[in-house]
This record gives sequence, structure tokens and C-alpha cells, in this order.
Amino acid sequence: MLLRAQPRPPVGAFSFLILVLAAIVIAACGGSAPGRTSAQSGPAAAPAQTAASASGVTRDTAVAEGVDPAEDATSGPSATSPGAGPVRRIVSLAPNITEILFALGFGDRVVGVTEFCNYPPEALRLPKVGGFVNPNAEVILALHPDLVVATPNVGNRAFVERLIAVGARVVVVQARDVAEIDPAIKAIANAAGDPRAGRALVARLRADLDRERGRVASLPRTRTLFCIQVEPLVVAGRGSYPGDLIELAGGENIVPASAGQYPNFSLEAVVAAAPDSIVQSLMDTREGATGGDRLMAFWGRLGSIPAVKGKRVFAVPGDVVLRPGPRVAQGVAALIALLHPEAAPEAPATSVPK
Amino acid sequence: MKRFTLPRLIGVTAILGAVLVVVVVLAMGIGATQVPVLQTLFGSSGGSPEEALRAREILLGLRLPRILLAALVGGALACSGATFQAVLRNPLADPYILGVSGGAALGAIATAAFGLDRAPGGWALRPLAAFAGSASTIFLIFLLARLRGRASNYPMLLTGVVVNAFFSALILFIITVADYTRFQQVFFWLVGNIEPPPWPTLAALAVALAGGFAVLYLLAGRMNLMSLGEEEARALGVDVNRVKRTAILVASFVTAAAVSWSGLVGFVGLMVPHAVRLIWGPDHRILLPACALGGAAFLVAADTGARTIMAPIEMPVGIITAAIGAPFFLFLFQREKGGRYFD
Repeated sequence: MLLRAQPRPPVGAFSFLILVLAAIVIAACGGSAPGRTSAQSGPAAAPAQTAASASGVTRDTAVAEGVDPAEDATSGPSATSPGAGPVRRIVSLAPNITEILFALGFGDRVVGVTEFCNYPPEALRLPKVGGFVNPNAEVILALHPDLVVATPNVGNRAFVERLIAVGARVVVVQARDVAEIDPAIKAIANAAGDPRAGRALVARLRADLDRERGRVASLPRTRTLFCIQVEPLVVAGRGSYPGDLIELAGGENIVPASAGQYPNFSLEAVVAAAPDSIVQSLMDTREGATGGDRLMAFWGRLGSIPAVKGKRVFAVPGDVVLRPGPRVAQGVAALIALLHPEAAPEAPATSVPK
Repeated sequence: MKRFTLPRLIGVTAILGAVLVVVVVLAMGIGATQVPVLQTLFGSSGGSPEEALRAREILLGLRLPRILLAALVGGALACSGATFQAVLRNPLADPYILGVSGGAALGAIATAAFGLDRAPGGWALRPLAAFAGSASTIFLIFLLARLRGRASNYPMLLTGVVVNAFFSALILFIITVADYTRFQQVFFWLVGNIEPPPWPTLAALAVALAGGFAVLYLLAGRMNLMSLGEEEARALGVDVNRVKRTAILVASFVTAAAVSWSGLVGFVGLMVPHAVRLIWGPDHRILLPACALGGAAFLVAADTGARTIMAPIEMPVGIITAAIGAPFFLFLFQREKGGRYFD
């Protein structure tokens, strides 16, 4: 909270601070002497740094755009892969990173993904390096990656440090909300040695987002609850990724900002806030079509909620609305189709997954 | 020792019943939202029909069932704690510490994680699996402790702690292999959490617990004799093994019924019986009803804290009971140091 609330200092001063901190942390850790991490600086350094420190990940693995290998604070061989030459073998440690890699056109260079990387479909056929929280270092190293892309995650800091210690080149990018997607994409593109692909993808995503936003710009906001799960009720607060999507799709999140990003929320407070729409992401595709029925079974008893009375309780596939990545505009479009069907271009883009 | 008389039973029940009513009324009055309680429940509220409906839903659809569930679970855990303490002759016996709750949780989580509870008729499966888990746990603990000679206190508690740890490992294993998306749900479950239940659930639970309580109360006199010592009880004509078996089975059933709806709420079965004993003495004919009412009042109060302290954010009630209960456990431990319980 504290870190997020801080006003951001001017970029130049900030990136210098990162470099200094990176040097200190690396020196203090000692272990990462062979670490070919990149701590780069540039215009987008601020968000990436904030993210990294807020999540407790050391700054030696914080990466942002604006690559200049010469600026690398760690040690000589870095930013571009060891032994120079282009990056040919990439391992992704998160589903949204896999999506970014494919969207950048690096799909044919991805040699390993997590068990949860199910998009694009090509990713399903790639070797699995383990789960999201518990990837397997031996499997990763056996794939001989010249780049591993990770994201800060509960409990994976030690894991990433270990990978670095044994000589893997790791970049850590953080994309937790819509604003962090662009810097994450650029950082990955830079690390793979193709900054132009990053700029092109970012420009495309911005255009897509602007188009979606334009559809609902003049419409009244729909009071919306985005729920991650019921029993216990966990909802998306402001500043979370789904929270951002709700706002972009012409919704107004009924969860107060003080509640944090993913609070265990009071049902009473939901009844009192009287949302016009309730959206629930289905994380587990195995729930299939019954997901929607179970939703109504849960909410049905609270008929005073306008969303329940008007049957505007929707299930959406979690992939599209929970993963900060290149499908952000699709996520917004999916929500617009639900919150503002009058503004959606054609048939709803989402339905309960098969 | 304070003697049992009918007026004393009525007096104690009346006092604790009044406490429970006061706690429930206060709990109805506070929540994450401001609701005009009296106008909503009795007569017309000044607001629009929508507001009135909303207030009714909050009070009668969410707050009241949740309060009643907390009351049932609290009463059940306190009674089963008192029973375990009597028949195992161990003041630190408690369904949570003995691992009985853990066994119930393992059964319930296993059915939920593999989606069995969503099959037709599956709603009955979860409590049944919980019961299977809790009953087999207590018998396992009993057997293992017996292997060391007699079922004495230290081995039995330690066995419970170890069995509990083993069940936690199994539960975490199930989450890992079965369904990571349920992690938060299972986490709340492991800590102990009360959700507003549907009315049929409440009714079924109330019937099951009333039955369990009736059986335990019939055994109350024999539990009194057994807490003197098994030899003494046997000499007085008590079929010790049979009473023990019945009491343990029923207490496990009661625990499982509670745990299958609330998860692992800890320490209620430890604190409440001891507090009641301190005030009104150890006669089970008074202790059991007092535990039912006192446990109910305690858990309703704790759950009211869980849903209001950080409102509109909620936390699992088990955090509160553990925060109060763990120091209480240490207090008992200190108090009994060198006493007969830690042989």
C-alpha cells in the first residue's frame, strides 16, 4: 500500500536509484556473481521497479524497457544473451508471459511453458516445466534456454535466484494491471533482442484498447461486481487487473478502493451496494457449463440485488479476464458485451467455456 | 464439588440462555452495512420498498442464518470437547487438538476437491465423509495410544498432534494434485470460516446436533463416574468400554457435522468447557447444556468480530478463536504443570 501510494519521483533520478540499489543488493547477496541478470533503466523503469519492490522481489531481477547493454549494472555479459547472438530458446514461467511471447511473434523460439499455459493453442504442445508456483529447475535447465522469463510470484523469488545462480539468464517482468502490460511487453521484447516487435505490439494493443474504450465512452457506467469466487466471496478490487477491465468496459466497480486488490468481501456489503451486473470468472474450465448454473444457485437467494433480479449474473472464462497480457482488448470486449450489450459490435465474445 | 439439582440446572441454563440471546441480538445489530434492525423486523421501515427488501435480505437472508450456523457449530464443538475431556480423562482434549476436526476436514475436502459433492445426492456425501474421517481418526489415536500400554494423556495428545500434521499434509497434497483454483477456499476451510448457509442446511444440522446432544446428555451421569477413574467407574457398575465407545463416536459425529460446514474452527472445544467448569463445576449434567449454550454464544461473538472488524473485508473466524484460544491453552498448561494430567 505504502509503496503504491508514493508519488513517483522523476524518472532520471529513479533509474539512477535503481542502478545503485541493484548494485547494492547484488553485492549484498553475493550469490549472484555469475548471474547474468539485467537491471536496465529507461522511461518505464518506475512502474517495474515499484512492482518489483512491492512484491518483495529483489531489484537485481527487475527489468524494464529502454535496453542499453552498456547500462547493465550487474556485470559484463547480459542483456543480450551470453555468447552474444540472438535469443533462440526461451522458457516462459507464466501463462501471460507465454501469451506475450507468442503475440510478439517469438512463438517458434519458446521451448518450455508452465502447465497452465493454454493459450495460444500451440503452447499446449510445448514441453512443460512445472506449475506456476512450483516450476522445476532441472527441467528448465535441460531445455538449454538462453532466456527465461519469469514473473514475481508468491514464493518463487528463491527459485529465480537459484536459476540465476546456476547461470541461467532470467528476466523478471511484472504485469499485474493494465498499465503494467506495455512495459512488460517492451521488457520481454528487449530481452529477446527485438525491441521493434515490442513497440509494434504495444502500439497495436493501445489502438485496440482505444477502440474498445470508444464504444462505451458516452454510456452511463454500469455498477458492477467482479467476483473471482464465492464461498468465501473473493472479488476484484480497484487497481486489480479485472478491476481495470471493468472500468475500461464502462463499468463502475462497487468495491471501495480501501478494500485492496482481491479482498474477501462481505456479502452484506454487496447487497447494500446493489450492483447492476455481477461478473464471475471461471478459473477452472472443468466446471464447464455448470459454472453458470452454480452461480445462480449462489446468488439466486439475494433477489434484491438488481443484477440478480435482472438476471445479469455472468460467467466469463478466466483466461481472458484474469491474465494481464496481449488479450487485454479481448477481455474488455468480453466485458462490454456483458455490461453494455448495446455497444458490443456483434455477438458476445465470451460464453461459458466448453 | 457442587451438587447437581434441578433448580441449579435450570438456573445455569437460564443464565447462559440469556447470554446467548443478548449476543445474538447484538450480532444481528452489527454488520458491514447499517440496517435499521427494529423497523425491518417489526413493522414498516420508512424507506422505499427496495430498501426494505434489501434490509430484510441482509438481516434474514445473510446475518441471521450465519449467526445461527455459528451458534450451532460453537455449541457442537464445545459439547464434543467436554465429552472428549471426560472420557479420555484429559483436560487438553479438544476435537481440534486431537486431530478429530482434521480428520473430518480431510474427508470433506477430499469429496469437495474431486467434485464428488456436486454429483446428484452429493450434498450428503460431504458430512458423511467428514464423519468417516473424524471417527476413524479418534479410533486410530486411541489404538496407537493403547499400544503404549494404557491410553494415557501424553501419548494420546502427542499422537493427536502428529495425526493432525499428517492430515494437513494429505489435505495440501489433495489441493496440489486436484485443483489449485480452490486454494483460497481450502485455506479458509483449514482456518475455520462461517458462511451464511441455506436454510435447509441449518435445519438438517440442527436436527443432527440435537440428536447427538441428546445421546451425550443421556451419558452425562456415567461420564461423571468415569472422570473419577475407569476402575472406580467399573466398580460402580459402569460398562466403561461401551460408554467410552458410544461417547467418542457421538462426539466425533457432532464434530464432523459442525466441521463439514465451518471448517477447522479451533479451540472452542477447549476454552468453553474449561470456562464453564471453572464457574459451575464439573458435573456433566450441567456442563453439557452449559457448553452448548456457552459455545454458541462464544462462536457467535467471535464470528461477529470476523465479519465486522475489517468490514467490508471479512476474515475467517478461526483466526479469532485461535488468537484467543492459544493463549488460553498455554494458561491451562501452566496451571496444570506438575499436576496429574501430565504423567
